[in-house]
Amino acid sequence: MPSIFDQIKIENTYEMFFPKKEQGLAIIWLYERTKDGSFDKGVFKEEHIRQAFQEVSLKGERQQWEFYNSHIMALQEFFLFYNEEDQTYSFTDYATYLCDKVSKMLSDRFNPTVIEITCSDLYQKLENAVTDTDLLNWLTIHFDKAKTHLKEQIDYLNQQIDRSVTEFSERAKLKKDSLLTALKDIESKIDEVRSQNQELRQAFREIDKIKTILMSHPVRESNEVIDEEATAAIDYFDSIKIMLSMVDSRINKIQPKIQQFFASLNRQRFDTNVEKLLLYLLDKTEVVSGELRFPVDKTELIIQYPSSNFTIVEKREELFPVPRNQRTAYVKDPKKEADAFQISHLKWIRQTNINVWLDKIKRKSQYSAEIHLSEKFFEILEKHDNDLQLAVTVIYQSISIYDKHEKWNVFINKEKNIQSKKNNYEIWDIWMKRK
Amino acid sequence: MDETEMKNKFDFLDCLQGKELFAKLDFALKDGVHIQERGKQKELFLYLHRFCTTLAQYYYDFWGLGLEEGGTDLGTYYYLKFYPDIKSRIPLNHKHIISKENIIIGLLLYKVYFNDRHIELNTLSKFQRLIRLDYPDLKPSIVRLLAKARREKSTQLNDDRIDACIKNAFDEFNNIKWIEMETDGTFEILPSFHRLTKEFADEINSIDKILKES
Repeated sequence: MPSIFDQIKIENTYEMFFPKKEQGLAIIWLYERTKDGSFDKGVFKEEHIRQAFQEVSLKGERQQWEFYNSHIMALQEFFLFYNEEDQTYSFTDYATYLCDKVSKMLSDRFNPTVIEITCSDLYQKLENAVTDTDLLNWLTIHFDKAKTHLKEQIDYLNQQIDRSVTEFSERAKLKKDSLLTALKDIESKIDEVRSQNQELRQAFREIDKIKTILMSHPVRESNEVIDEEATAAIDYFDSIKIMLSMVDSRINKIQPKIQQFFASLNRQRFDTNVEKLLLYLLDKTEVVSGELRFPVDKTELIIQYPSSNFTIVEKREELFPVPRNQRTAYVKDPKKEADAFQISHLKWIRQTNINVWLDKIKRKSQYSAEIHLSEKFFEILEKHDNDLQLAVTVIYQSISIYDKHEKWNVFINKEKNIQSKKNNYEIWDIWMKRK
Repeated sequence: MDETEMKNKFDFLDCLQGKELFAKLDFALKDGVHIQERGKQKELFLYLHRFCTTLAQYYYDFWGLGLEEGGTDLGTYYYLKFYPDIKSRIPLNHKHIISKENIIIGLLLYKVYFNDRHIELNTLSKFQRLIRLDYPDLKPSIVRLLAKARREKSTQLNDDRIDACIKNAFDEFNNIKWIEMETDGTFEILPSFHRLTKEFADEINSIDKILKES
C-alpha cells in the first residue's frame, strides 16, 4: 500500500481534503446553518451554496455561474453530496466530522490538563538538573518553551470575562431578550470562569515546588548568568500567581453586581422611565445665562445642610507672651536630698574607678605586647560587685583610645564570645596588640 | 400614657455611644451624607438604626428636617430631607442645592450602569470616556448643557469641560456617599445612589404623561 504522503501529493488530491480558504469558509458557513436548523434535515440547495460564496467574498458580490459551478464540483469530491433526484445538497460524513472537530477545538480552548502536564514535566526536569549546564538548559530551553503557553490559559479566562461582560451590555443595547435571561447567562458564565480558575490554580500547583528548587539551587551562587535567569523565572512564576488571583478578584467584584441587577429586575419599567426622563431633560433643559433650567417644575430639588464652619479664633502664643509666673518657694525634702546625693555620689565613685582602671591599662601597656581586654572586663566586674556600666565604659574608652593610638591596634573578633562562670555576661573577644 | 410616650426622647444621647457618636452622626447627616451599613460608616449606621425613631423626632422637632429611610433590606440608607412646606430652622446660607448639571450626570450614570449594564464600570475615567465616545446620540445635548457651548459640536475644549463637570459631580456624589470613590478614581455605586431617582419618582412614574403634554 502506497504511503498517504505519496497519494496526497498527486495533483489536485490535497485540495480535495483541505480545500482553499474561500471553499473552506463557505463550508463552515453552510455548517453553521445546518447546525442551527436553518436547513431542514441538513439539506440545502445550490442557491444556498452560492449565497455562502457571496458571504465569503469580501465584497459580497455575485460571480459568474461558472465560478460557483467549478467550486461546487471541487467540493463534491469529499465535502458535498449531491442528490440528483431532487437537486439538493447535503454534507458528507467527512465534512461534518471536520467541521465538528473545528468547532469543538475552538470552543474548548480551556484545557488545564496541558498546564498540569507542562508543570510536572518542568518540575521533574528541574529536579534532575544538577550541573550548571543542566540548569541553564532548563532555564533557556524547557522553561522558555513552556513560558509562552502557561499564561495563555489565564488570558483565556480573562477573555471569557471580557466577553461575558461586553455581551451583557450589548444585549441591553439590542433589547432583544429579557434582563433575566441575560443575567442568568452572565451569572453562569462567571461561575464557570471561577471554577475554571480554581482548576487552573490546581494545575499550577507544581510551580511552588519549582520555585523552591530555583530559589536555593546551589549553582546560582557561582554563576551570575544562571542567577539572573533563575530570578527572572521566579518572577515569572510569581506573576502567574498574581494573574490567577486577579481573575478571582475581578470575579469577586462582578458577582455582587450581578446580584444587584437581580434585585433590580422588578424595577425594569421604572428604569426605562428613568431613561426617558433623562432624555427629556437632556432635550428640553435650557441654558439661561449660564444656568440650567429644567423643563419640569420642581422648586426645591435636593438639599444638603452644610453644618457650620466654626470660626476659630487662633491665639498665637508668641505674639502674646504669657507674663512670667511667680517663683515658687521650694521646701527642702531631706529624704529626696539624701537620695539625690546618693545617686551623684555613686556617679562620682564610678568615674573615679573608670580613671583608675584606664590608668592600670595604660601602665600595663608600657611593658606588655598585648592586653586581653575581654579578660579585663571580667576582672572589673568581679572587683566592683558586677558594676556592668563601669566595666563597659572602661572597655569602650580603652578601645577608642588605643584604636587610634600610634603604637597600638585593637582587634575585635565578633565570632568568638568570652564568657565567665561567675556571672551571665558575655563579651566579644577583644585584644589590644602592639604594632 | 402608653409605653412609647414613656420612652426617653433623648435616648440616643443618654446611651453609651451617644457621647462618642452623636456629634459625628449629626455632622455627617447635615453635610448631606447618606448613612449606610458599610465600611467606616458601619458604626454610625448601627447607632442611627438603633435610635432611628427618637432621632427622627429630634430632627423634626428641633430642625424641621425629616430623617428618612430609603432602600431595601440589604441596602438601607438614611438621610435628612428638607420639607419645603414646613418652617425649617435651617437658615438660607446653610442650604446647598445640588446643581442641575450634577443631577443630569447622576441620571447619565444611572442609565449607563443600570440600563446599559456596564457592569465593570468602576473608574471615573472609564465613565468620562464612555460619555465622550459611546453616546453619539446624547452627545450634542451633553455638550450644550454641560460644556455650555452654543453649538453642539464635540471639540477638545468641550470634552475637557464635560470631563471636569463629571469629575465635579462625582466628587459631590462621593461626599454625600452616593458613591464611594478612591483617590485614584475607582468608584462603587452605593445603595443610596437611588436617592436620586427616589427624589424624582413622581416625574419618572408619570413621564409618559409629561411627554404627551410637552
